[in-house]
Amino acid sequence: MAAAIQISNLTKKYGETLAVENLSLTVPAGTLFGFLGPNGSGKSTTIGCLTGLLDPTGGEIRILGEPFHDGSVSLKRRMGVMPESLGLFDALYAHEFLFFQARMFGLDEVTARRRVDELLAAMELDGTGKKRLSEFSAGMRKRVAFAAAVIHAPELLFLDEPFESIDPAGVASIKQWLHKITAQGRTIFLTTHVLETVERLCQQVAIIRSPGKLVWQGDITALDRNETISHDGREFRTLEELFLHLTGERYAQLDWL
Amino acid sequence: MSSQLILRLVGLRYQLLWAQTRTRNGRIALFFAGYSIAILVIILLTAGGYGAALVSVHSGHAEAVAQAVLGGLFLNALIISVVTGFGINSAFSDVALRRFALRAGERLAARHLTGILEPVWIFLLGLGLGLSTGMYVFGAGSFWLGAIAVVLMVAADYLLARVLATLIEWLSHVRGGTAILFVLLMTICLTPGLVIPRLARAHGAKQAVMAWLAYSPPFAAAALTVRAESAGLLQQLGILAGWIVALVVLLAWLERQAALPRTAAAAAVTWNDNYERAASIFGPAMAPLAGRTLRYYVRSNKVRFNYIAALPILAFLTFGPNQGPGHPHYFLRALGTFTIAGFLGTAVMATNQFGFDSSGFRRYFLLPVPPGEILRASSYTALSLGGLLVAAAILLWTLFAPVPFDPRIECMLLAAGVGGLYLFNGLAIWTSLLSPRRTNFETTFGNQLSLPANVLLIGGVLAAIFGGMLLNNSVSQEVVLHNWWMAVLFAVLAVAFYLYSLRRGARIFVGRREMILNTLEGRN
Repeated sequence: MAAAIQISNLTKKYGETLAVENLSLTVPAGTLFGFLGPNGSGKSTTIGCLTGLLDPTGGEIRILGEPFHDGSVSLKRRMGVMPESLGLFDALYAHEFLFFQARMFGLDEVTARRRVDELLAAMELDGTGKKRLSEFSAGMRKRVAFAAAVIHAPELLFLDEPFESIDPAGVASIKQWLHKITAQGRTIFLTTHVLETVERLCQQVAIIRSPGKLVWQGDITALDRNETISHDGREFRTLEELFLHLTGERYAQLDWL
Repeated sequence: MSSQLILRLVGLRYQLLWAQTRTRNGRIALFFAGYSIAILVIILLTAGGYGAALVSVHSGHAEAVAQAVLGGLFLNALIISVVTGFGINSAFSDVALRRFALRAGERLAARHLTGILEPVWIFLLGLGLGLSTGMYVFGAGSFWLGAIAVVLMVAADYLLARVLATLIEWLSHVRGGTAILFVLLMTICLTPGLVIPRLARAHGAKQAVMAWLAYSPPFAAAALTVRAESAGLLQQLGILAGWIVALVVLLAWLERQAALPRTAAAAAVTWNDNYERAASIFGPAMAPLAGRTLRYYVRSNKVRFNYIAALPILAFLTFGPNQGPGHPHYFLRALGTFTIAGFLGTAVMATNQFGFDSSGFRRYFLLPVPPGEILRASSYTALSLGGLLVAAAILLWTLFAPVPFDPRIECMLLAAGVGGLYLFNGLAIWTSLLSPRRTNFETTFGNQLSLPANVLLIGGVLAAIFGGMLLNNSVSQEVVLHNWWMAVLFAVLAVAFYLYSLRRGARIFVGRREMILNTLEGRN
C-alpha cells in the first residue's frame, strides 16, 4: 500500500524547547489513521508541520508521494485541514466562509455555491444566514470547520479533535462521512482524546509521548474482532489500556475532592 | 458590598497592565510611559498647573485662567478618550464580572473604578491638582475645596466620555444609527468654524455664552478652586454633583440599551455578491482573499466609525477656527489634512492587519496560495478604501471649498492624499508584521493598537496637521504653488516605499508567521 504521509526524523523546536523529536511515521493511503498522545505531547505541532503552518527544525516530510514544505501550493490544494483551534474568520457568515474556502481551493463559482448549500444543509446550519461565526455555538463552529476541510473533496484530510462539542447526531453523521471518504481510497489523519471512537473508526494508530516521540504504531483492527493487542509481553483488550500503559498516564488522587 | 473583592479586581487590572510589560512592546511602552511621566510631572508643576496658578494670581484674573486651564484639560481628555480610545478600555465587561460573587451595583462600581484609574484620568487629575495646589499656595483658594472640585470634575469628564462612547457604540449597531452618527459628527465638526467667528462679532454673545458655561463642570470646578468663601459654594458643588448624577443615570440607561441582545434570528442563506464584485478588481486569484478582507473592514465597528468620522474631522481641521495668526489659507491647511485623508478611516485595521483574525490567521497558511498574496490582498483592500476617501475629499473640495479653482491646487492636494495614503500603508505593513496585537473585532472603542501603530497613527496625524499649520503661518500660498512638483515627488516616493514594503514584507511574513500566530492566539 502506498504511503499518504511519510515522515522521517521530524524535529521541531520552539527556541530551546523540543516539541517533536526525531519522529518517523508512515501513514498508508486509504486508511483512517489515529494519531494519539497525551496533552502537550506534540500532536498539534506535528500536524502544524505536516500542513505547512509550522517550519520543521529538521527531518523530511513526504505527502501523497511528494516532498512537502510550506510553499507546496499544489500539494496543499489536495489536502483538507480542520485545525484544533478551527481557524475560522469570525466576522463572516458560515456560507461566506465556506464559499471563500471553496474558491481558494479552486472550485468554480457554481460548484462552490452548490457545495456550500449542500454542506450547510447536511450540517443543519442552513438557518444561519444572518449569523456571524462569532455568534455560533462551539458545536456549530466545529461543524463549519469540518465542512471547510472537506468542501474541495481532498485526498488527504487532517482532523484535529473533530468530535469535541458536537452533539451525538452530528458525530454519527461525521463518522459516516469519514467511512465514505476512506472507502474511496482517500486518507484521514485523525487526532482525538476519545479512544473509544478511535477504536471503532481507525485501522491504524500511532501513539506519541512528549516531546513528540513515537512509542507505538500498529494495526488495531484486532480489537474490533474482540481480540487483544500484544505489546511488551502483555495483552491489551482496549486501546485505553494500551494508551495508559505506553504513556504512563495516571489519575492523581485529590483527597479533598 | 464586596469592597474587598472590588479592590482586588482593581488590583488585578493593574496586574494585567503590568503583565503587558513582559512583552518587548510592553517594555518599550513602559520606558516611554516612565519618561513621559517624569517630563509631565515637571511640566505639571511648572507650566501646566502650578505655573498657571502663578500666572493667574499675579495677573489678577485667577478665575478666568482657572476656567481656561480646567476647560482645556476637560475638553482635551474628552477628545483623547473618545477619539483615540485611551482611558475607556473596558478591562472587565459586565459579563466577565458575572463569574464573581458581585451584585449588579457592585459590578457597575468595579467596572467604573477600574475605568477611572486608567492613566489618562490620572494625568488629568494630576494637572488639575497642580492648579488647585498653586492657587492655594498663592493665596487664591482653599486647598481642600480645590482638590474636591478637581476630583469631581475628573469624575464628570470620565462619565461624559463613557456616555459618548456608549452612545456611539449603540448608534453603530441600530438601524440608521450610522447616518445619525455622520450627521452628528458633521454638525460637531463644522459648527465651531461657522459659529465662533459670528459670536465674536455679535454684541453680548460672549457674556451669554460665559453665563451658560458657568454651569459646565470645568467652570464650576474653576469657581470652587479660586473661591475660599462659602458664598456660592453649594451652588458650584451642586452643579458638579448634578452633572455626575445625570451622567450616571444616562450612562446606566445607555448601557442597558447597548447590552440588549443583538444575536441574529434564524434566516435562510442569501448570497450577496457585492463584496465579490468589488473584490474582483484585484483579479480572480486574489478576489476571494480581498473579498474576505473587505468584509472585515466593512463590518468592523471601529473602522465604520472612523470611516464615517474621517471626512467631518478633515473638514474641521481644514475649515475650523484659525489657530494661528493672520487669515487662514485653507489650501495650505488642506495640504496637511489631505495627507491624512487616505488613512484616517482604515488605520485601526491597516496597522494591525492580522490582529482581528484571531485563530483565523492559522488558516492563511493552510491555503494553497503563497503567503505573500495574503499580505497583498489585505494591504490592497486598505489602500482601496483609503483611496475612496481621498477621492471623496478631492471631490468635496472642488465642489464646496471657498477657494478659487486652480489646477495646481487640485494636483497638489491629490498628490498629498495619494502620498499620505501610500506612505502610511507602507509603514502599516511593518507595524502589522513586527508588532501585531490580538484585537477584539466587536468593540468600537478602546485603543487596542500596539505602541508602534499608535506612534504611526497619532504621529502621522499630528505631523500632517501641524505641517499644514506651519505652512499656513510661515509661507505664502504663491511660494507653495510655485513648488507644486514637490507634492508630486512626495507621492512618487511614497508609492515606491509602499511597493518596497510590500515586497520585503511578503518575505518577512513567512518568517514571522509563528510569532504572529502565538501573539494572536494569546501565547505571547
